Amino acid sequence: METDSLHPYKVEFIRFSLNQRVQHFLLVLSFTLLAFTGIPLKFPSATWMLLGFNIGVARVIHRISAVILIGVSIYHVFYLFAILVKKEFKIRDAFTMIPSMKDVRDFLETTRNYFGLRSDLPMYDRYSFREKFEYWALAWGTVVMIVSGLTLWFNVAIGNIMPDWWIVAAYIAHSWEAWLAILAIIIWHMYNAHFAPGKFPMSKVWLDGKISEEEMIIEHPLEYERITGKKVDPKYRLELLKSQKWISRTRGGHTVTEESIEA
Amino acid sequence: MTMKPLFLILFAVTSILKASNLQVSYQVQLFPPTDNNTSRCLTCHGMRGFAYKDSLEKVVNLYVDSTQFYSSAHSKLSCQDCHQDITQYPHRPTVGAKLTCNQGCHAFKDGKPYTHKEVYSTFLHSVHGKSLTGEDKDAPTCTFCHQGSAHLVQPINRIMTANEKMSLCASCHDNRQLMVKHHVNPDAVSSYKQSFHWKAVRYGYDRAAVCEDCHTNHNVLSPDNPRSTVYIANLPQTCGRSGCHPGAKMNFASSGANHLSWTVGKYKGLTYELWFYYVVIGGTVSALLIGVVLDVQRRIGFPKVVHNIAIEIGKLMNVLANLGVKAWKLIVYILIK
Repeated sequence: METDSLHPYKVEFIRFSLNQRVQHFLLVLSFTLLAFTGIPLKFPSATWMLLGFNIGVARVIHRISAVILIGVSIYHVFYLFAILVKKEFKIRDAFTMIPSMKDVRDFLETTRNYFGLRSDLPMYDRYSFREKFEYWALAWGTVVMIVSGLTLWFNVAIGNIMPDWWIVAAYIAHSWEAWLAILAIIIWHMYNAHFAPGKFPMSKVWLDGKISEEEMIIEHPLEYERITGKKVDPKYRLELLKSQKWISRTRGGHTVTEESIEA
Repeated sequence: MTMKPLFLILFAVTSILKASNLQVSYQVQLFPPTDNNTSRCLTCHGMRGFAYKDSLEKVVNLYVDSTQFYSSAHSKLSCQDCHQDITQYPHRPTVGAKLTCNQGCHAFKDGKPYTHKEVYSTFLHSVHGKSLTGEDKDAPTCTFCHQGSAHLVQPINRIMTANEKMSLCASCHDNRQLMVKHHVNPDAVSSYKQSFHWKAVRYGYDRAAVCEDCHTNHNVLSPDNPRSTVYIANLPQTCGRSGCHPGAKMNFASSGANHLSWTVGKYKGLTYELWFYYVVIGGTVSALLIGVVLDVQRRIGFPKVVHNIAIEIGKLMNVLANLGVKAWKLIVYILIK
C-alpha cells in the first residue's frame, strides 16, 4: 500500500522479537559454516567449498559451528519452556507452531488454489502450514545431526558403548540428513525468503523483525484480525495479492504498531 | 747362408716376447669384500644403454642410474655386498643374476649387522608370500612395492604420501578381475573410499589410516586367520594403536566403518536406512520444487504454459475426486446393503 491522503502512514507489525532474531542469526551463521565445511567431506570433488582452507582448519571450524548450533538448540528449549510458563502452561496458546487439522485443511485448500480450483487462499494464522513444516523439519534435522555428529566426533567413547552398527548408522544419517537440510533450505527457505513474489530480493524480517500490513493481511490474516480487531475482507485480500509485484516495495513505515509478537 | 737361420731365430724370439707382453695386460685383479668399489663398477654399469643380448636374443639391461643409486637406501653398500659372486674383474656375464632380498650381505646399521631376513620371512608367510616362491605370478614381490629395483629403493614413508601408498595397494586391489580370480574381496578399495579415513587422506591429512595401517605392509593375512591384525578379536588392538584411536574397545573396532559400503551391504538395517534417505530426499526435494513452481505460477502466472498445465491438472483432479466420491458412496452402499 502506498501512502495517500486517506492513509497517511504505513503500518508495520513487529513479528519477531530481538531474542528470536538473535537465535535465528546464530542458526544461520552456524548452519552456513557447517554446510561449507561439511560438503567437501561428502563430495570430495567440491574442494572449492573449502574456500582455500585446508581440511585441518575446516574440521575445526565445523566443530566450533556445531557447538554454536548445539548452544542455540539448548537455549531454544529453555526459551520454549519460558514461554510455556508465561502462558500459564496452556500449550496451545504458548506453542503456536504445533500443527493441527487446520494446517492439513489449509494445505489442501492451497493446493486447490494452485491448480485453479479455488480463486482465493485459505486464512492462515500466525504460522502457516509452510512455516510449521519448515520449523519441524529443522527441529527433526537438528536432532539427527547433533546426535550423529557427536557420535562421529566422540567416536571411540560413544562407539565403545553403543552396538557396532551405530557408527555406520550415524555416518549415513549425518551425511544424508545434512544433504536433505541443505537442499531444503536452498529450495524452500531461500525461495520463501528471497525469491517469492513480494519478497525479492530479500525479506528483511529476520533483521528488524517487522513486516508490513500488506504482508500481514495476505500471509497471516487470522493473526491480523486477532491483533487489530478488524475483519479481513477476502476480496480485498485477493486484490492485494494480485497487485503484489515481484520486487518488494520498500517499507518505510512512519508509524509502527507496537504489537510485540513475543509468541 | 748362415745369416738366414739367425734372422729366423730372432724373429721367433721377438714374436714370443711380443706375445707374452699382450698376456701381461690381462692379469686378473682380486677385490677385497670390504672395499667400496661402487664407482668402479659404475664406470661401465653407470653408462646409459649398457646392455647385452643373451643366448635367446633377449636384451638384458645392465644399467644402474648412479644418481638414483647414491640417493637410495643402499647407497652406502658396495655392489659386492649384494652381488657376492662378483669376486674378480673381469667377471663372467651370467653371475649375479639370481639375488633375493633375504640373503645376508655385509651391511651394517648402527654398528650391528643388518639383514632383511626377518621381514622376508614374515612376508613369505603372508598372503602375498607366494610371489617369492614363484607360485603366484600376480602377487607382489619386494620390488613391486619398493620402487621396482634394489638399486632404487628408498624408505617408503619418506617418499610416498598416504594417498600414494593407498594407490599402490589399489593398483592390484582395485582390479576387479584380478581380485575375483584370487578370491579376494573386490570391493575393498571402493568401500574404503567411502570411509572417513579416505576422505581425510584425500585431502592430504597424512595421519589418517590407509591400507597398511590396519592390514600391515609385510604381514597381510586373511581376516579369518587369528594371527591377522584384522582378525575380529585383534581389531581393538589394531584400532587402538597409539596415534590412532587409543581406548578402542570391541564395539567401536567392529563397526566396519572403514569399508563403509561393504558394511552397509552386510547389515539389512543400514541398507534400509540408506534407502530411507534416498526416498525422503528425493520425495521432499521434488515436492518442494513443485511447490515453488506452483506458487510462482499462481502468483505471477509465469510461465504461462505451466499455469495452463496446472489449470488442466486441476480440472482432472476435480473429475477424479468426484468419481472417487461416487465410488466410495457405492462401496459403502453395497457393504451396508
